[in-house]
Amino acid sequence: MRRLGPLIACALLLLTNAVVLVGVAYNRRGEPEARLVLTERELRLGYEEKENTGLWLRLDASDADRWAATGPGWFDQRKLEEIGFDCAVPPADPTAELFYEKALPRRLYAVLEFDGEAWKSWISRREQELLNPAPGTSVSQTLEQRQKQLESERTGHSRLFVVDVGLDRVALRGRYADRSRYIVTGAVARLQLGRSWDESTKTWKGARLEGTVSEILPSEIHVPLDRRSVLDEVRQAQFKNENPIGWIDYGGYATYLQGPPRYRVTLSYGRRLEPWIEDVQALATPPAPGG
Amino acid sequence: MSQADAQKRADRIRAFREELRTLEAEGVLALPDEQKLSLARHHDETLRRLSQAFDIDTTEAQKQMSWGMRIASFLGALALCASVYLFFYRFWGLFGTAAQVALVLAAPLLALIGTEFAARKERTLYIAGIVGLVAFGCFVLDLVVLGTVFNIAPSPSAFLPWAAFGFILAYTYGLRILLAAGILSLAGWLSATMGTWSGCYWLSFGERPENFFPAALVLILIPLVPHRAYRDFLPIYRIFGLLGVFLPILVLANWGEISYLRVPNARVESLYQIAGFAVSGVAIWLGIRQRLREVTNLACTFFVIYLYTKFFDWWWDWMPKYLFFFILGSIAVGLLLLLKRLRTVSLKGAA
Repeated sequence: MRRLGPLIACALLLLTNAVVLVGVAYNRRGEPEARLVLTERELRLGYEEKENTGLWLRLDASDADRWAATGPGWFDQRKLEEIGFDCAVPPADPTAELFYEKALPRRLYAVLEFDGEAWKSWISRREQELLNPAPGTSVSQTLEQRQKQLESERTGHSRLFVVDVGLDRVALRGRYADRSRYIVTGAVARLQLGRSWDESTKTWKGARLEGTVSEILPSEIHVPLDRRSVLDEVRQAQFKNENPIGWIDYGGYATYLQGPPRYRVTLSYGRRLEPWIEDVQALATPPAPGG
Repeated sequence: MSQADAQKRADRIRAFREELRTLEAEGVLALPDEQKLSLARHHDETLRRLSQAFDIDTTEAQKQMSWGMRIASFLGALALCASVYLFFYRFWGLFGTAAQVALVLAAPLLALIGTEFAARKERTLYIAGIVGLVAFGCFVLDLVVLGTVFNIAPSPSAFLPWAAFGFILAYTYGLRILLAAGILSLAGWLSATMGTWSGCYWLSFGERPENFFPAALVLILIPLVPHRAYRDFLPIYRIFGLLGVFLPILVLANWGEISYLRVPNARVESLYQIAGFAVSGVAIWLGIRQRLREVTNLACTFFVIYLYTKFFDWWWDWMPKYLFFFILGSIAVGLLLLLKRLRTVSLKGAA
């Protein structure tokens, strides 16, 4: 052991690195599984750390129906059962809370749609909420402020939305075949018991099960040195600018860019669903609203 | 013979010499000068031989210094690992992908060569231990960086090569600090795998402390495999194995909602409180019976912690604080008397 040990350790180091690098080569071989041209709206700059010279972009994909007042939308109980969650106890049952608070997140595949129906439906709902609020809804902003906010969301919000989940990535790709609009990627989903408290009857009502995609895997995309120049310029300009274009907290749950996007990124996904940045281009002029 | 065996022999010789001096002073035993000289020569020669082969401590002062050196080397190794990690992240953005990959691969290889060099130059292995842990830290950094650079989703599989690397270095050089690193990696892999078997995403394995029990059981059973040349490794396995049982029980006895058991939280907590007392009680008994000091000490510590957390739950809010601490103190004295009694019974049994 004394003589062989260092050699075995050395072989283990080389073998492990070789396995990882072969996996990377396999991922990037042939035609990409998906290739999309996204902008700063969907790929935000990662936080700058004082003692870290690395750079990454954060994929911002919204869960379209997550906060809809109408219910869980497509990620309902049927979908939860389909991906393996145990939904044996009816949501209105008195033991449901104990049963579902123990549900752990599950690894699966998610479909991200870029600039499609989910985005159009979301922005039209926002238009309705901001410009024609339902009677009885408290509105703190003036109409002009709300119009400005809508315009800001229309040009700054991410157009990437989670539209489906499943355990079979081939089946998902079959359903969402357009590789320039749909990304199939690893994700983590959680189950939630949704319900609202009725103060008049002192009981819970409208109990239902809903799923959320809590994490996209991976959601941070490393930027290699030869793709950094445009992003470094953006960062420097942001640092110098007194009123930098930034990301705005929206209700604590989502973020969107205030102002026009400053760069465009060609993002590819390989056979193992690992993404990489193919190209980064500066955007000189803001694209047309909604596009 | 391992270094631990050599150290034990040296300790026995030192104790024998002290006792011989006492017996002579009390007039109980008086060896003839010739025999005394021959015995002293034999012991000196044995100590010299052991010291040369294993670099052991032959005096009490040396032994105390060794402990200080062990602590210093452990802290030094941790600080160096942090330094390597921060140094890399401070400058990695200035390199292209190929250079980044080459750097993170070269770092553990160089540290491995450094470990071998230090082990050849210094028999105490303090420096080899430091460089070995740095090699382990560099290997962890290597896989983390490759995962980041190529946007690979995190996987529990990384724990396996880390564990293998830790064990190889530990068994090659007899380094307990690397054994601990290997054990932690193995426990991480086993617990994460256990979590995925229950259907959850692997990074959530910590949300169910029961996931640590199988890993703990494996670690407790490893000492049953003969370790003739590595007898000083056995307590490390037992300590980490018991920690893998006691710590999850402590957490579950206070936060029942994170258990796998689908019964009301209060019942889960009661169950684990009882389990805590039962398991630590059995471990104390086994530790005394098998003369495993580390098992007895750790089990006693957790028995007291379980007891005190329970008392805190029951009495802290309504009892005057002086009375609360008086009761804790009295119970500690009671436990002391109980352990003393157990010790006497055990000594009688041994006689």
